[in-house]
Amino acid sequence: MSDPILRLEDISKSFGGVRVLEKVSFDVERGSRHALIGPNGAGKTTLFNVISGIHDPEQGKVLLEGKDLKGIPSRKRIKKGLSRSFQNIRLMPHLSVLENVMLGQHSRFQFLDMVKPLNFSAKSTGKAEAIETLNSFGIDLYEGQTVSSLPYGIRKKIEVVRALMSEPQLLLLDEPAAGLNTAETNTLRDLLKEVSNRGITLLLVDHDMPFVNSLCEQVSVMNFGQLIYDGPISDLKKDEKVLEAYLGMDEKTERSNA
Amino acid sequence: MSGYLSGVLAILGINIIFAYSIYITAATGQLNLGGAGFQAIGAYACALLSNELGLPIYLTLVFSAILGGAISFLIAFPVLRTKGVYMVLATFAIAEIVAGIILNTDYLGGPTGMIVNAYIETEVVLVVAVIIVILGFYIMSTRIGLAMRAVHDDEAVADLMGVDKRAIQVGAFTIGGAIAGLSGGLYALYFGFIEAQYFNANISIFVLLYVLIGGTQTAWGPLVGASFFTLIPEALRIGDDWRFFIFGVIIVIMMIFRPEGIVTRDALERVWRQLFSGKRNV
Repeated sequence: MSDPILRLEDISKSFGGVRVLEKVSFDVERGSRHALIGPNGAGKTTLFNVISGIHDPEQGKVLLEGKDLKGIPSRKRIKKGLSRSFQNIRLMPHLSVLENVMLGQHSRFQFLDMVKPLNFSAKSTGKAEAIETLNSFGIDLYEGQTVSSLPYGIRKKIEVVRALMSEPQLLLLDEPAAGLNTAETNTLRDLLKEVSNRGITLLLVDHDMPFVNSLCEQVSVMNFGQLIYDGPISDLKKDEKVLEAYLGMDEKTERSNA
Repeated sequence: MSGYLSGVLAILGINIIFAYSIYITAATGQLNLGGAGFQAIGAYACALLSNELGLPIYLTLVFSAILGGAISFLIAFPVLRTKGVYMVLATFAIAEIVAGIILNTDYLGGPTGMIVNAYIETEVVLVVAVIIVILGFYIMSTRIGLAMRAVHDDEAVADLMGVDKRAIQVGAFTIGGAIAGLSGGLYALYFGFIEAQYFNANISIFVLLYVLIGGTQTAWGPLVGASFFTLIPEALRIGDDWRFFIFGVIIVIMMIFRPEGIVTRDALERVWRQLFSGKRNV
């Protein structure tokens, strides 16, 4: 059954004297919906940054489709099928919605297509496709506007769509549900399920446990830079280390609320 | 066309071309305060090729652009290692170095300047200006233009999207240098006389102001900015005493009310919607 699209082997990383990641190893199975959770400061975003090439690990390997990503600059990893969104929305403030989404396609185009005017050759420059994708996700209304004026939930959604435009194999989502209200979270979940049904593997960081529970099958838990659990999400609540480090508090509150 | 009008139009054309040279770089988020240096390189190249080798005018212009571009390309690598205010200082220093070299080279006329034998009419300047404006709009309408604006907004994210930010920045700096060289060549040919003192810091500051006040978000910015800055002082000639005072006040008011420049994307979008009251894919 094991067919990992992403394999992390003993990843370690420090900033100054602080050990942020300590020999983190786990696999993300192809086509799975995998969550990475842990308290604030556990090293989740740093791990994402190591995977996407923003930081080099001091030790260990990142293997995508079995190939070591060492030495491949962050810019070229998107061509290997890796795409990501960000914890704080990082859309381009002066670009329109459509342009932001088109930026996501950048890695798929050759130089010759890049020097064609977008308005006159919408097909070969990918503009037509970007409009179509926006429409299919129900955000056609906003395509002419610059993104800074849009509501938070919409911007989150646009960031996911932008990440999809590179046709990734593996999508890294850093807290996609943070700051969303219940309705927006539900919309996002449906969107991500649809993405997953297209065969794209999801690895996501989030603090919203009901959201993670209803979306992911696999979960890895980190605490203080170390991996303390890796397995099916159904067994998560049976794990003592996890209960102690992270979920115990949540569960108690959840029960007392119920 | 009266002599005065044709003179103003020629200066307008040269300023617009010069503004696009700085704009192309600014659109990627890099401020070039060394415009005058690249313009001087183009002007002297053009003058020498015309005086010494007797090359035809269009060839001298092509060479001033090539030389401006080649020198920009070479210094782009060290200069683009700096960012923000440090890049402004580095480019400023380059312009000073160019002026210093010219002032101390007898072959180039030193401080006494140089007479240019060839001569062009205002129409030539205007035709080249139109071509450069079209080129500016063209670049910004492509995926390359999109990548440039992305690098301007967020280098790190643009990089993760697969944009080669180094290539974009070096490319923009090189094209900017080439266009500045071209504007220098036109200046030399139109005025028939060049001296190092003309290509001073004021010129660099002014052209950067054209671009920043015009707005760096769209290709309209340098066109509007350069026209505004060239024509307003001419229009204010009526009250000569107060001319620069009023001009200064206008700049301050602009910076307060339109800090992103006269032409912004949102403003264009609003105008477009009112004119056509429909959806538009931009």
